[in-house]
Order: sequence, then C-alpha cells, then structure tokens
Amino acid sequence: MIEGLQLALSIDTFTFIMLGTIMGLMLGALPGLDATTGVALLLPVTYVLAPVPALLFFVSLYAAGVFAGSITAILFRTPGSSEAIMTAVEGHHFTARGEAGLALGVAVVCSAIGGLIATVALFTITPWLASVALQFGPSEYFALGILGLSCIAAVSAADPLKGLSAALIGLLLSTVGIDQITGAKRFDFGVTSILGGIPFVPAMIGLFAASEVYRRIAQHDHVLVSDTGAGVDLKGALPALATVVRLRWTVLRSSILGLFVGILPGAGATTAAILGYSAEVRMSSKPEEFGKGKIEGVAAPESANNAAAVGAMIPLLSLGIPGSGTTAVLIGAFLIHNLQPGPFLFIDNPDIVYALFSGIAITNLMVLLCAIIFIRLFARFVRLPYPILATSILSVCVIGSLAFGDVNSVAVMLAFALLGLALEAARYPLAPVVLGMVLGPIVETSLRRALLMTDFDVVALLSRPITATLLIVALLFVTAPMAVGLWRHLVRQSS
Amino acid sequence: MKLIQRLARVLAGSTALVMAMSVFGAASAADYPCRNVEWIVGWGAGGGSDRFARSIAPAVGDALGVPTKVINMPGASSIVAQEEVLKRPADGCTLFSVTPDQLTNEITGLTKLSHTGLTPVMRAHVDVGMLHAAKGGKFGTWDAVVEYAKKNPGKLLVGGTGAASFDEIVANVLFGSAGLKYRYIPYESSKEMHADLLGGRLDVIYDEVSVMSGMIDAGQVQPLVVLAENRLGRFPDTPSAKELGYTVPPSLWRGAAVKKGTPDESVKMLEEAFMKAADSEDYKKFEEGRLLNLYPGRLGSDGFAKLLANEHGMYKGVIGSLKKN
Repeated sequence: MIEGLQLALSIDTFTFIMLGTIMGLMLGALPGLDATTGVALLLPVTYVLAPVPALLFFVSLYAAGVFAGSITAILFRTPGSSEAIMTAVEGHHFTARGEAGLALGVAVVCSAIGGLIATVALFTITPWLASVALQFGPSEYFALGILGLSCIAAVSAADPLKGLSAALIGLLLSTVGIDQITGAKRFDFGVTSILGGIPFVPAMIGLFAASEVYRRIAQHDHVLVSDTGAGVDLKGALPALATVVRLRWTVLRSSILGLFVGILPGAGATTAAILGYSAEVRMSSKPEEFGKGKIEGVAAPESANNAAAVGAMIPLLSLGIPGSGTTAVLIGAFLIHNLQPGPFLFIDNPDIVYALFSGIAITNLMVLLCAIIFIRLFARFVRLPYPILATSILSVCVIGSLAFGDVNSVAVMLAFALLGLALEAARYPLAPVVLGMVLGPIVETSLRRALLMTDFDVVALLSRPITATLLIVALLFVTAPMAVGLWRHLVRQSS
Repeated sequence: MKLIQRLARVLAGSTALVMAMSVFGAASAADYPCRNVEWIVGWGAGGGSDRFARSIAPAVGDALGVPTKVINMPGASSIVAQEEVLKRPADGCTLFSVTPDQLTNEITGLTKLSHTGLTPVMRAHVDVGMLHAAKGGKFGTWDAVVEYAKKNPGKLLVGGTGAASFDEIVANVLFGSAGLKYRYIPYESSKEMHADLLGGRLDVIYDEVSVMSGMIDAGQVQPLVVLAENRLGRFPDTPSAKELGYTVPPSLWRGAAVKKGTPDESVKMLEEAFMKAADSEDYKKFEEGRLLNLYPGRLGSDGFAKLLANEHGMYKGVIGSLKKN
C-alpha cells in the first residue's frame, strides 16, 4: 500500500495526473467532446508510458471531464457533458442572479468531496461493493428507475400535473429507436440518425443551452448578468466553503447514493446526477424552491456524479466488468500494458492497484486546484456583451451536435431548442423531461428483460428483496405527501 | 530525468518515423489514386471494430503510400456510417468496416442497404465465439447444460447482445442442432450481461474469446463449448461444437470493404496493402493480445465476397425461423 502511494506520488505520475486533469477540463467543458472519446483517442499514445502514469492520466481525464461540464452548465446553461445536466437546471439561475461564483465554488468543492468519499470506499470496501453490484439484475434496475420516476412530483412541486406531462414527453421520446428486446424499429420515421435512439447530448444542449439563447434573444437581453457588479470572482470561494459545510448531510448522502449508482454496470454518472438531484428534492422540506436556483440542487448532483465516476472503477478493478462507458474504454489502457482488470489484479499487482487508488484521491484534489484557475478563465466570458455570447454559445451547440454524429444531430438539437422554448413559455419544468429520457430506457428494457427471465412471473420478479424494497420506497415517495395532505385536510375540517 | 529521456526518445523515434513515412509516401503516392484514405468505422471509439481499424490502418497507409485515417461515425448499428460511405464516390478513397452486423441489419429490415452494394477488400480475422457459464455456478460442463435443458425444456436462460442479432443467430444454430429448448435474453451491452452471468441470473452466455479471456483466466467464468470445428490450443479442455456433433455456428469476423463500382485496380491495390499490413509487427501484436489469431481468418477480396454471400443465406434462414417462433 505504501509502495503504491509512493508510485502515485512520483514526479512521472504526478505530471501525467496534471496533464490528464487539464485535458479533462478542456474536453469536459466543450459539449460534444467527452472523456470517453478523449480516452479512446489517446489510448495509443500511452504505449510508451509506464502503466501507472498511463492509467492515472486517463482516470484524471475522466474525473476532470465529469466535473468540467458543470462550469459551462452554470455559466451558460450549456452542459459540457451529460453528467452536468442537472447542474444546468439549477445552477444557471445563480449566474442570472449574479451569484455564479457561489454556484461554481459549491460545484467544485462538492465534486472533489464526492470523488474523495468514493475513493475512501475504493480503499476500504471494494470487495463488498463489487458483490452489491452483482446483486443488481434487470428487476432491480427496473425498481431503481421507478424510484427515480417517483420523484417527479417532487421535482415539479409548483405544478405536479405539468411536471408529470413533461416527464411523459421525456418517456415517450425515450422509446424512439431500435427496441432492445425484439430488435424492431420504433418511431424512427425512416431517419437513420435516430434509429439508435434520440442522440442524448444534442437533445440536451438543444433543450437547455440553445433554447435559453433564443429566449434571451426574444427578450432583447444585452447582458448575461443583469447586475454586473456582482460578477464572478474568487470571493465566491469562501462563502462556497461555508455553504458546503452547511450542506454536509446533502453532500454525504448524495455522494453515497452516487457511489452506489456508479458501481452498477447498467447505470452511469449521468443517472447518478439525476437520482442524486431527485432524492435531494424529495428529502427537502421545501421542494418548491428547487428549479429556481437552490444551492442544494447544485451540491447534490455534483457530489453524486463524481462519486459515481470513481465508483465505476470498482466493478472494473475487482470483477473486470466496467461500471460505465468510459471505464469500458479504460480496459484498453490496462490491456496495452498487459494488465487484466479483474480479481487477479489485486493479487498479482497490488502495488498498481493501490497506486491507482492513491492517484484517484490526488486527482480529485487536483481537479479542485485546476478548476479554480479554469473558472477564472471562463468567468471573464460572462461580462461579454450578450450578442457575442449568444453567437458563440449557438456555434458551440451546433459544433457539439455535429461532433456527435451527422447533420441530423443538429436538426435534433434545434428541434429540442424549440421544445424547450415552448415548454418554458408555458411554465412546464424541463427537469422531468430529462428524468423521463434517461430513466425511460432503464425502466422499460429492464422490466421486459426481467419478465423474459422469469417467464412473465410477476410475483417472482417483485419478491426479490432489493426490488421489493426499492419499489416500496417509491410507493411511499408518491403516497406519503398525498396522505399527509389528506390528513391535514381532515384535521382542518374537524377543528 | 528518466521521464525526459523517455520523452526525448519517443520524440526522436516518431520524428524519424514521420520522415521515413513521408519519403516513402512521396515515392509511391503516384500509384494509389487518392491523396488520403478515410476509413469510416460505424462504431464508437474504443469498441472492437474501432480498435481493429486503428491497429491496422497505419500499416495499410504505409503499404498504400498514402495516409489512412480512421473516422468514427457511430449510430444505428453502423447504418449511419454505411449510408455515408455509399454517398461518397466509388473511388477507393473511403473504406468501411464490415462485421456480420451488415448482414443482420439488412435481413431484419433495419436498413434497405444491401451488402451487395459493397465490394469486400479483406477479412482480417475471426473472433472465435464460445458459450460460457459462471464458475462455481449451476454448470461446470456442457454435459450438465444439456442434461438440465432436456429435463427443463425452455428454462435455460442464454444471454447474448442484441435482439435478432448475430448472437441470437449463433445461439439458435447451436441449440437448434443440439435439439435443446432455451430462452434467449438480449442485452444492449455485454457489461450488464456479464454482471447477470456472475450474479447467477443467467445460465449461459455467448461471447467472443477476445472479450472473455480475462474472466476465464481469473477463474470467474467457465468456457463450455468452442463454436468452431476444432478445439483451441489456448483452452484445450473445452470441446468444440463439431466434435459434439453439432452444426458449427457462424463466427464473428472483422474486415474492410469499399463502395461497389470502385475500379478493380484500386480494389486490388487495397487488398495487397491490407494483406501486407496484416503481416506487420504492430497488427500481429494486436491480434495476439486480443486472441484474434487462434483461428485462421484471413480472406482476400474474392474469398470474403463468397463468405458474405454464404453467410447472408444462412443468417436469412435462421432469422426467418426466429420470426416464426
């Protein structure tokens, strides 16, 4: 273990962690470029490196990439990566209020803490977590998805009916593409580009970033932040620290939730961010304040997604099964150096495993450091005249969509921009649309696969302990507020 | 210091390489009628097809004398990429990655494009498939699977990736010829399937050797049958489908093609370049590392074309019978 730490702290390794962090921040901040692509494209370059620096280079690139998406999400409502989607929902309100510094500060610190909590778990309870991950089959994923969907009413407390409609739109959109269970085409209208499902990143940057630009143009906004005096600076850092201390329980529970979602091969950091946010709203005593710029709504998804990113290493290292798309590509980095991720890695190369663990911890601190510099850089853009910003943001939206596929992805982005405009104009919340689109495929495919496996025996499916527990919690989430409401109503009538 | 030395060495090495390539390129660029070749891969960076293309493309470029660049265009089981290739002129400057998916996409009606719109260049390798069970689980041997499936018809859960896909065809051919009733469980990605196998929710899975060797070596997974004519030297105790008296199912392979109508001379030059590249040190190392050299798989343009026609007929028959069930 000590040897591993020394390995991670050597100058060789440290340099590559630094490089990985900086590249991750750049890739993550640009929509359309993500850590997975970065890792895949840079894999051949690492032939010449020793295994530990090479692996830590990628791990730091991944961790930094997951965080960096939230900088642009907060400042311009442009999620640079899909993991930052909930941060865009909640965080951009701070920029509009001139409090971007606070939101960014909280996002950085929570990301680092989430990552560090997951790293502690990596050091201490990896074998146990791996066995938990193996307990999750189709019926458990179904129940987890339902639990997430049960938070929709809470996420849209102002008008649950509108929230529900928005979620249904998301669920409906998630059915587009090849049916995973029968292989049939669904709602593709002959367009090949959406045969594999609506491309998620173009859809999200359309829904949030482009629609926001069009809305502001329609309102003749000349500046992004109305109160230019309260711009973004590092003065936000101190209040941010104080805020994080105040939110310690939010950060802790979101990190743990994120860690558990992250270890599941069938769910990634994006799902973790969404579930972390939903759970936070659900636990809050003032759910109606979310969606208008409540700091818990930034802290929760940011803790959860970074914890999940680190958590995804657990099944990879201990079982050889990647916990996410990026870790799947990371297997290549192991193979290049004749290392096979899996149970033998702990026995044959414990020094490498512990060097990796230590490196991941260092990476999270490094993200904290580099991010502060990065934020200063980005914060200058906020004061640019809005016409210049609007053109730049829209260009990034188009290029980001193109990077994800073909010209049709740009059409998808623009269609979602219109959808976002229409929904917000009619005061429908956007968060439930995202919930529906991300959780829809998990719920649908998992349920059908589970039914196929049990030969359509619903009782056998529902009586699995984890499934049953998750579904009961979901049921309570939905019914408890109604029961409380009914109880208050009755009390009022009788008095 | 060591790092700087190493970096310097790499830098010097790559400069020399670039210079060598440009000299070589200048000498023979006149031969191949493209300034550069773009290889469109219909799958994301990091997948099996992507790694194949990236490992052989530099050597193909060297042999052709023009740079060969890999471009990922993922989407719709590589149909998006196929459409792009067919939109471009048939001049041999655009390559396309071919796998059995091109055949299944066409047969299941996901696309109207046919494999006959492509001219095969070379099939590079075969990624041998096997059936696996979790070690220490219900089944230690293939005989145990047969016994269970006979006693409990239709209860055996067999995992594979994709529905009406290559994996499902393989399962259907093998279990059909063994006379066993089973239930096929489709997965979108193999990571969830592997978790379900190790978690005891699936009885048996189909997957290729290149993906599974790590889990087999680690003692997590037990290979049951090799879906080929002969046993593999690497796993001498695992029986082959043929020796068990079953029809040998098709194997997963990877290759490259160009748009139909590409001049014969260009196809010929590409074929030669690929054959030469397949003997290069780098590509051989890649095949060895991924266990893609366990079974002879290399076929030239004509052989590959015959194989595509044969397998198209075979897949069509199987998928037709799946639909009837």
